[in-house]
Amino acid sequence: MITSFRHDEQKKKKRRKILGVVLLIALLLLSLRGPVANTLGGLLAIVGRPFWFVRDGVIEKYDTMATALSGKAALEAENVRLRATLDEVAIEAYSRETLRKENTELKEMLGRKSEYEYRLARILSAPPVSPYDTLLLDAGEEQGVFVGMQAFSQGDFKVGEVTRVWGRTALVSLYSTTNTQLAVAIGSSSIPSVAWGIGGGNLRVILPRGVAVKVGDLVSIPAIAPEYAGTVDAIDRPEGSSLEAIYIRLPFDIYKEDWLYLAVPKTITPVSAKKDNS
Amino acid sequence: MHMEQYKIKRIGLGILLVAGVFLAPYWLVIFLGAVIAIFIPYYVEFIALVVLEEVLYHSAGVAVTTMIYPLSLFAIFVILEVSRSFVRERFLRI
Repeated sequence: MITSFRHDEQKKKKRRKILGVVLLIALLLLSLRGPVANTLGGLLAIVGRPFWFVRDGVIEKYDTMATALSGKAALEAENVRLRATLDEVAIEAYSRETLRKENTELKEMLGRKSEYEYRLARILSAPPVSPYDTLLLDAGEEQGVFVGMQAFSQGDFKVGEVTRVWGRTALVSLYSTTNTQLAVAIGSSSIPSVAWGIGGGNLRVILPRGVAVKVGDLVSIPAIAPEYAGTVDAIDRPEGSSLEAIYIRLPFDIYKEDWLYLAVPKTITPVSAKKDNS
Repeated sequence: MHMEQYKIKRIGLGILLVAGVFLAPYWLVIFLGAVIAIFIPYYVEFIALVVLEEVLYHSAGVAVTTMIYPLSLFAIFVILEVSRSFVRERFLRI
């Protein structure tokens, strides 16, 4: 009986030692964040691929089934609503494209031209699957993705930057990641300021009280080509304070997007220099 | 036979949690891991789970701030483990 008790105690001590060692290795691995952690991340991205593809397949199948099961009347109503929306959007898109073209032409006439090279990437994983404001993409080194590439979403919204790259996968850190800074121009008079990421897809700008900003204003990023950080979502003007906090978020849910555009960091080349080279 | 079944269950739960790292919200995976850690003694898979989430999703640029998340989870795990052992030894006499 006593022998058995001693044996159990020894077993417990051994298990606790193993647990302590595992904890220590985990802490070392995470605090150093070196090549071992990076390689492990790459391996995990490979292991995760079949899971993500199965999930996408299931979602696609479910969508098809749901469409087939929904009633004819409901589908017709949805069709009418979508057509009306499409007409509205098409008119807006036309004027937007015309203005955009004019803007680009004017900048080119003044000798400024921005050049982008885009890579399309599918989002494999986004919050809340990821505990941070990071998106995992299905394009990596093999597709020409590298650290520092800027990530854009629909409508010229710049959402983040590539911070880690593996063979066929890359990780984009959103600008809303806590303590990330982004230079922005805010309000009708384009006041230059710095937006700080506060997590959950949100950014915050602190400005002097009384600046002409209202909810819904588009917040741009100072650049040659049109780039936006989001729209003003809320303004906090505390009683008696000389400052106000402006909260910015994207006008769409980035966590539910399927695709991102990755751009090579912009190179501004004078048009005259380019002509000389050619 | 009993030991074999226990091992198979443990491996099965491990695979389920790893699949969760890729597909399920992180809070759900961590919650499930913590619940399992209450029932299974010395559940080292919980630590592995946190490490997997970290190496896959952490942003390279903000190493210092992101350490708060794994460290908190490790602390929760240690508290769970100590409390479980305490309850078993002092109250249940197992």
